[in-house]
Amino acid sequence: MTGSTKARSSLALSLVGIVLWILSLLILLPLALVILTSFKNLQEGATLNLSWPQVFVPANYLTVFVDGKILGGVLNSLLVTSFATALILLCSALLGFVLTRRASRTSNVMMTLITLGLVAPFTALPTILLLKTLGIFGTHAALIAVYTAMFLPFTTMMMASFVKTLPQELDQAAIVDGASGPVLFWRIILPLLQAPLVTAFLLNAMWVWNDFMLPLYLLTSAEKWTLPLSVFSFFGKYNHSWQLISANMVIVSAPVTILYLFGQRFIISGMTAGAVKG
Amino acid sequence: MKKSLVIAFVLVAAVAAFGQSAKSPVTLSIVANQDWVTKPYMKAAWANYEKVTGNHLDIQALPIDNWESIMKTRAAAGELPDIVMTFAGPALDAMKPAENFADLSNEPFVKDIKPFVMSQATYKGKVYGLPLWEGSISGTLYNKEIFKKLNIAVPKTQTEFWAACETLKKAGITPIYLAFKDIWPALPQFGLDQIAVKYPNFVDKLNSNQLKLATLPEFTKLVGFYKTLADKGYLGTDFASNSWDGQAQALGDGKYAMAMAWDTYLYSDLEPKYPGKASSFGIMPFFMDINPEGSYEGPNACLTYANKKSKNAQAALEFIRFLAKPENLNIAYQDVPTVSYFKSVTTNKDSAQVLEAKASVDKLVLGSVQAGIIGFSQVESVKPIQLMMLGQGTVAETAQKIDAIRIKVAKSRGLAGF
Amino acid sequence: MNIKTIYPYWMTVVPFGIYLVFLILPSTVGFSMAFTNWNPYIEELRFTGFAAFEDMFSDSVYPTAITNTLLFAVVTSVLKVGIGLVLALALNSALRTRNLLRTVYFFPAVLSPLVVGLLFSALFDGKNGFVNVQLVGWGLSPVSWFGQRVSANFVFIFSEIWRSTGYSMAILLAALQSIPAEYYEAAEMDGATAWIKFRDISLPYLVPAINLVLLTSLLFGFKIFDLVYIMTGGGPGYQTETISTLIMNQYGQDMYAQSTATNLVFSVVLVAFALMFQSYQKRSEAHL
Repeated sequence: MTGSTKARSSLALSLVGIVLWILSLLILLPLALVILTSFKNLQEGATLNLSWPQVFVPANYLTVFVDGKILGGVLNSLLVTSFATALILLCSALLGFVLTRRASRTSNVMMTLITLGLVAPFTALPTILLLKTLGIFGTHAALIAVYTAMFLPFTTMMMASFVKTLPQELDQAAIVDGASGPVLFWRIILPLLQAPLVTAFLLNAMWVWNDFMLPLYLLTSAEKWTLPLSVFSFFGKYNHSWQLISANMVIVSAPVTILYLFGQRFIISGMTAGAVKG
Repeated sequence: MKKSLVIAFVLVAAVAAFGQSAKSPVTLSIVANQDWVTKPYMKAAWANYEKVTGNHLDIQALPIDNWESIMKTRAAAGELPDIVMTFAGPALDAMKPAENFADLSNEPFVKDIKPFVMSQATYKGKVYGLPLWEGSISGTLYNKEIFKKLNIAVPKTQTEFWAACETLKKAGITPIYLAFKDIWPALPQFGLDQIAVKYPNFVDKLNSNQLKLATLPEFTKLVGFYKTLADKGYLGTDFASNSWDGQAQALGDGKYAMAMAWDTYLYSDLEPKYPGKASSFGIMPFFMDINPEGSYEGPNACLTYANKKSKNAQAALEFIRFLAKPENLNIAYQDVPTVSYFKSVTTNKDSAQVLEAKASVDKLVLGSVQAGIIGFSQVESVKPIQLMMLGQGTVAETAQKIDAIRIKVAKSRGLAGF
Repeated sequence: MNIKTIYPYWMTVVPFGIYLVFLILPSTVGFSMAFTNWNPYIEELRFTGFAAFEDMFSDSVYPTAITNTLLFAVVTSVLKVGIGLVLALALNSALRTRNLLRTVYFFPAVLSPLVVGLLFSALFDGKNGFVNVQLVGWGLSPVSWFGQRVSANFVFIFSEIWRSTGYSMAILLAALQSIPAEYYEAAEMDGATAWIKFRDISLPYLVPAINLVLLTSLLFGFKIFDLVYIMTGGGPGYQTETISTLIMNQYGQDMYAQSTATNLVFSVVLVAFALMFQSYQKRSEAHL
């Protein structure tokens, strides 16, 4: 590359950066509203606006923390999210790998059945009856199982689409060394799926973390409730206390945001690891 | 022989005594909706129970939009919580009270309930629930200061009401704030109370298809009332974007003079956001074009029930007995601005608005009938009215659409006569 | 070499079993209720054939709901993929602040639809909403965002794009990064321009990921519920109803069998769509 094209491309790059930062205001502005509102008092918090709080009320966070039983919620959410996400990833990677490589009639039928799962709705009553029959209704384990089944189709399809881009010659080399089945999967395929796995991990963690429908139906005790349900302690039909809702929004979203901050670095290292082979 | 008997006796007594003293605290589960858990008297009653008994309450606050569906689903699955809360009417039918709830008819508190609440507390001749609830009076809230400034006498008839609207509008003040966007605040059910008075067995006849709303001239007038409000500009020009959230501001800033709501609204919503403002509001009847003198609506009680099938059935019953004790009721209602439901409660504050309009309230207050009408929904039945207010459909068509929704729901339930 | 021992099916038994037992089984049982008199008040369940399906063909609300749903699904999916792709490409470059920017653009995807629904209903509130306050500040007249069908649909679409473009960006970014760097290096040696590299290397390798994002966005769009339910509840009148709000309304009015019937028909249509999409997918990914 010559010097001038290099200079031109770095100029273009900074231009792209500037444009992206300006556009990011569309995202940052509403978030700024939320954060500012979370520090306001009741009178100011009646509406969401960009004004600077006249009185700073950090105590909103304390109120949310105590009234929303945040600590218990965080622990429950961590437990459910980590187990469900781990199961989803493992199950999906296995399915995506075997079904893509087999490419037979049976595997096609199975894949089609899995596609149906993108459409199949959660049906409360039959699910509750099923869980009661299995003797696990009301437990976190039941919730984790249902989450796994619900989110598995998307991640399986995602894994399948990535396995397709991995040349089959990779497998051949390992097979020659005597690897097959689980060994092949664990040693060769799984490391190559690192980038999509991290992405899938983030997405699933986020979906499970944010879901509030399933726990409402499947957990029968507030002590087992997950974090997002805490928002219902702060707004009613007749009354929106925006300062508390905002503080709650910040608290509930913080863990997943931190996860993404760490996770996305991981995606990059995943990329370089994947790029060694080819 | 005797000795061993004595030893055995002592042992049993010791075990019993130990069992008594080491009785571990019970955790009772309560399912409520997100609105109820923030009510001060509810919080006070529950906190008092936990403090005195040492037992724990596991309170699940469900979202308003689907608490009823969730409760019904759990009822169908046989998974009701220890303590159930719900309104009288169809929601209660789905819980199958006779099967699921402890019969409280012989509890002492039943005699303590004031007569005007009894009809709501009774289900097929029996009392299953404790009406620990607020007694709000619904009517038209009006800004006394604006009325005074414009020299408007508080309307006593429909004609005077329309005249007041006209005067306000001419003075550049929007007469009524209607939270149109949120659908339910149109509140046509208040008008149904007035119609029910004129037709004996109104609700039963509707539910057995012997009566249709659209054939009643009063109902047509009720629907027409909303058209008049929209067409004459009494709601302002851009009422379509009015939200319930904005009502406190609309009233607090004095840009709007009236709103259809209830006296306690002034204290729960307006006063916290506009301190001192509640006292400049008064309450007058709804004038919905049905009868000349209008009406108020009395409270619609939400009751607390004990699940008799739960493993904590006894503790659940004790919970209700605890709450129903006069001393505990008085703790719960301490300084709450509400009409009280119990003869023994004296710590509540009657709201200034209701006290001021007492003669009018006593004369014109009616019980709510809407909850009993199968297929009349506070949201779905309002949607046709919304369309009409935006210029789509006549009054007669709208009345028929509301009937059609009712009939559709009744049919799906397989009710006789449909 | 035996494909059956190298890629054995027993490895799929547990994952597939969980899926069948905890999702497909209850869904199938649930759907069978569409052919009964199911509601919360019944004493005994009876088979009623297709009685619960009748409403769907008589109710005039359906055409409005179908149009709204299609509009939402198609517009949001196209924009989510389009904008997501541009963002992914831009943030895959050597930009110094790319990590921060990625986080910023991804952030809204972290929020639940419930939270986004509440946030945007406040932002676009007709009276005190931030957007209208700004419009008035700039001397423009305020818009009754939720008061009319067109503007309400605009807000739904806008908020969905706001919420989940970051998600499509993340998937496309992961796909971009799993393309072996050697391919680009080889192309550079041949003197390929950025456009050629995009067209001949990136795009073909992105096809499976694009398809995935497109399919899931479309399916999510067809099922759109939370945002609409929170912001307008289907109003004013029925002007912003979607298929899912109708299903929910029926359920809310205790018409369980009818609600299930609508949901069944809707799901069958979606399955047909998903299968058609898959056959398109196979063709578009044939080169891999």
